[in-house]
This record gives sequence, C-alpha cells and structure tokens, in this order.
Amino acid sequence: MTTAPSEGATPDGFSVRVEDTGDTVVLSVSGEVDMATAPALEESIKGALERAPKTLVVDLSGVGFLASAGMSVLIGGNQQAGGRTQFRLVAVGSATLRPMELTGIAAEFSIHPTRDQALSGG
Amino acid sequence: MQLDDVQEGDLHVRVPAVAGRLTALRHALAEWAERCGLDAQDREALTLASYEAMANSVEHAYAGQLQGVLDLRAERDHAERRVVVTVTDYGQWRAPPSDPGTRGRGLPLIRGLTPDSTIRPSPHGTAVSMSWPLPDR
Repeated sequence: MTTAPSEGATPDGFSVRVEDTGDTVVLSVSGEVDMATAPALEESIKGALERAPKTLVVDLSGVGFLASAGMSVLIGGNQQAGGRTQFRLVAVGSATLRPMELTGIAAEFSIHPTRDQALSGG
Repeated sequence: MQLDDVQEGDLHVRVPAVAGRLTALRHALAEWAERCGLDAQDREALTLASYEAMANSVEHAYAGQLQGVLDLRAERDHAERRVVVTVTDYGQWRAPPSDPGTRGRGLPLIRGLTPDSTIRPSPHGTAVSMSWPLPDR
C-alpha cells in the first residue's frame, strides 16, 4: 500500500494566453484540458467571442491532453462564433488531433497545423 | 486515496466519484502504463480512454443521488499478453442521448482508443473494461 499523488491536484500549468490584435484574437492554451480545466477554457473562449473579432484562433499546440470535456467546449465555441467570427484551431499530433478525429468532430472545425497557417486561413 | 497492490505491479484504487480526483488517477495510470512497457501511442490511448470512463461515472452515474465511489483497476493479464483497465461505478447507467449536442463524446472516444472494450450496465452500476496488447519482450 502506497500513498498516491496529492488529492485534488490541479493539472500542471494549465494556462490560456490571450493576444488581441483587434481583428484577430489568439488564445494559446497550455497544459491539460480535462473536466477540471475545461470551464476555464470555456470562459476564455466566451470572453474572446464577446469582442466579436473577425477571427478567433485557439492554439492547442501546447496541450498535452484533451478530454471530451474540452472538445465539448470547443464545439460550443465554434457554434457560438456562428457566422460572425471565424473559429479556427491549431492542432497537430496524437494528444489533440487524434481524439478529435476519433470522435468525428475534427470535420466540424477549421483545423490548421501551425498558428501561421491558422492566421492566414491556409 | 489508497493504492492497494492486488497483484504485484497492478493497480486498484477506490475514490469518491468527483472530477477533482481524476487528474491524479490519470497521472498514476500513465506511469503504470509506462512501467508495463506500452508504447507512447498506447499509453496515451489508455490514459485518455480510462479518463473518459471515469468522467462518465462522475458525470452520469450518480446524478441526483448521494455521492458514490468509483473503482479503478489496472491489471496485467500475462496469459493473454494484454493490460486491462476496468472502471466500475455503482450508480445508474444512462444511455447516451440520440442527439448528444456538444456533449456525449466519451463513449465514442473510448471505442476509438481501445481495440477491445466492454460496457456492462446493470441495475447496480456499470463496469467499463478496456484492453491493450502488451508489447513483446
């Protein structure tokens, strides 16, 4: 019998950095997006969409774990953006892109391998 | 939280089914999968699928009831050359809605991440078992 990691630990280093250039808002997400952190991501996306930018880029390059709770938040953001704001994701690799592909939701998003490509829409 | 060694190197944990407990369990599982020698892709799949199964228990199993517990078992099945993760709760099974809206991606994700999963709902709770092959030595 051993003692497990401390109870109620928050995921290591979850953060969302906001860069607002007027027409474009970029949210750079770092850490793990799970049930515990998804509400914080949801708040960040809502806050960004309230500024009604032309483009909102959610950069998941720094995300090492994406649970379905996080995907629900992204789907909600995409729907909330509607036709007013272009909602784009940056996602590559097994931690973020693979779960979105496995659930079939990747097809609902505009997903780009790099932030530059997301910004240029390419 | 207690980790009882059931069989040398296996994991059996019982915790209150609350979201705040799952992060530490996930990290413990990732370490366990590494000790078992699973490759990076299977470790990631095992960790995410197990998390989704636990999240299901937290979200659905005990809705409207007193807070329950969930059991997490991670075991090596040497005879079958595989690892098996089982998440058991003792609440009410709720079938996924036909239109999940923005939610309800947990079960499809589990099915996509494991070559072999079994969901056993019963009046007394639900057990989700998932397995991944052990690498050849």
